[in-house]
Amino acid sequence: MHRLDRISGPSQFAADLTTDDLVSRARRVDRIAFASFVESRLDRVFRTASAMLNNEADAQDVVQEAFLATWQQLPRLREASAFDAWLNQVIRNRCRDVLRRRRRSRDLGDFDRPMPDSTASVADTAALKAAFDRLNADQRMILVLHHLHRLGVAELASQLRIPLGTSKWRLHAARQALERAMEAEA
Amino acid sequence: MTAGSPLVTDAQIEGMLRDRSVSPPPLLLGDVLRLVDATPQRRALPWQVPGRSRWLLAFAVLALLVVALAGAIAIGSRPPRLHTALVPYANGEIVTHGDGCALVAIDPSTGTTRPFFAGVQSLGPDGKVCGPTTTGLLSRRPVRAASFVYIGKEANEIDDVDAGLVHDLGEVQLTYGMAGDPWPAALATLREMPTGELARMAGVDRKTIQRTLRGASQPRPELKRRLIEIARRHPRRAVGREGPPSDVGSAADAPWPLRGRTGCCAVIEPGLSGALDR
Repeated sequence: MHRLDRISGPSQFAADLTTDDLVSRARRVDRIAFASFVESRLDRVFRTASAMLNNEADAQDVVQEAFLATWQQLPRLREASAFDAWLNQVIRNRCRDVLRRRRRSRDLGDFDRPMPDSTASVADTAALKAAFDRLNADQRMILVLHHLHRLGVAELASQLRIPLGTSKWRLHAARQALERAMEAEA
Repeated sequence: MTAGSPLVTDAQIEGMLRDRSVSPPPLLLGDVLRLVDATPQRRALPWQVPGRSRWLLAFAVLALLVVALAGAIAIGSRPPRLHTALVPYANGEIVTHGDGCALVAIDPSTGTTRPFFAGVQSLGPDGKVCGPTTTGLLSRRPVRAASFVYIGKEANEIDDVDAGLVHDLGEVQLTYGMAGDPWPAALATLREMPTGELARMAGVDRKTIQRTLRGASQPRPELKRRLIEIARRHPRRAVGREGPPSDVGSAADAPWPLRGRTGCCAVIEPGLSGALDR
């Protein structure tokens, strides 16, 4: 049994602390603070990874590696307020690695297996998914943050650590790339 | 924010992403925490510790300033170089100085005079090699010829070389017979001179001079001729107003060539004795 199994209710622990406090505690090798941190962000991070990769197993790997990397490198984080942006960057980079490996691999059978569809227009959604799979990691990330997590351009700029104008331009470019991919799919 | 397009709408994208995104499996949190529990954190490097980087930067800037200041102080307190530029022999004059005489250099631009180190040529009243502050009756310094070089009468026009009327010293100085090689004596003289000044006068880089003085390489004939000429002018070196060098004795032992007119030219070596006065 590992140490964190003995901790009950990390959520309650995290509820009383701000993000900065949690990061500061986690930076001092406080595993309880980091556990509460993981718990509070796991759902959002996993949804991001699975939306980008369209594969649950890959998403699990990416999330585990991302949290492990942030735990190891946490003492080197200078601004506690930048933790979420940093985590997004780590997720994006890991997803990029996975996509790169997929391109190298010729066997794409299992990777592109569609998940259960809940929409009516199955054909349109399939074409859109295929077009989305043509995008690179940066374009996928900004579309996921904007359309799935409903972040505005200002929040995108904050999360991606880029200027406001750059976030607008990148979002527009990602949309354009998606449309071009749709045309190519058609 | 994004405008809808004929091909794809925001709603379509949102629907597609909702379909792709799934909830994390229940065991994932436990797996992540188990990994974290088993993995140590990496230690932050000194400049990566929050709040410490600016102190490190300030310390680095301060250290640089201290080093620069120390360097400036060291340069400022360094004694002035005694080896200044050569004073043309034509600008040197023997003037009476108290009971004796002294050789002074005249600055043609200002007309002022300054002491001229004639220690290797004359002895003071105490029998020692004289310096710029020596007073009294100077006597000829006894020298001993290490070798003789017989030269032709063309050497009567040797001053034309200094005046720039004759380009090559070889035109007015012909050597005959078993002429000794002036290079060993010149080399000993050159070793007494600062390599930087020597390199500047010879028009080559310092490394070449250092290799030559070390004996690691033989200079090309043109450079050799130039270095011999520099060595011949070496006793005419001025010491400035700071007084004689601390190592007057060793400077006095330095060899110097006594250039004669028609007849012979003697190359003098350290440990002088006897006399040559032709």
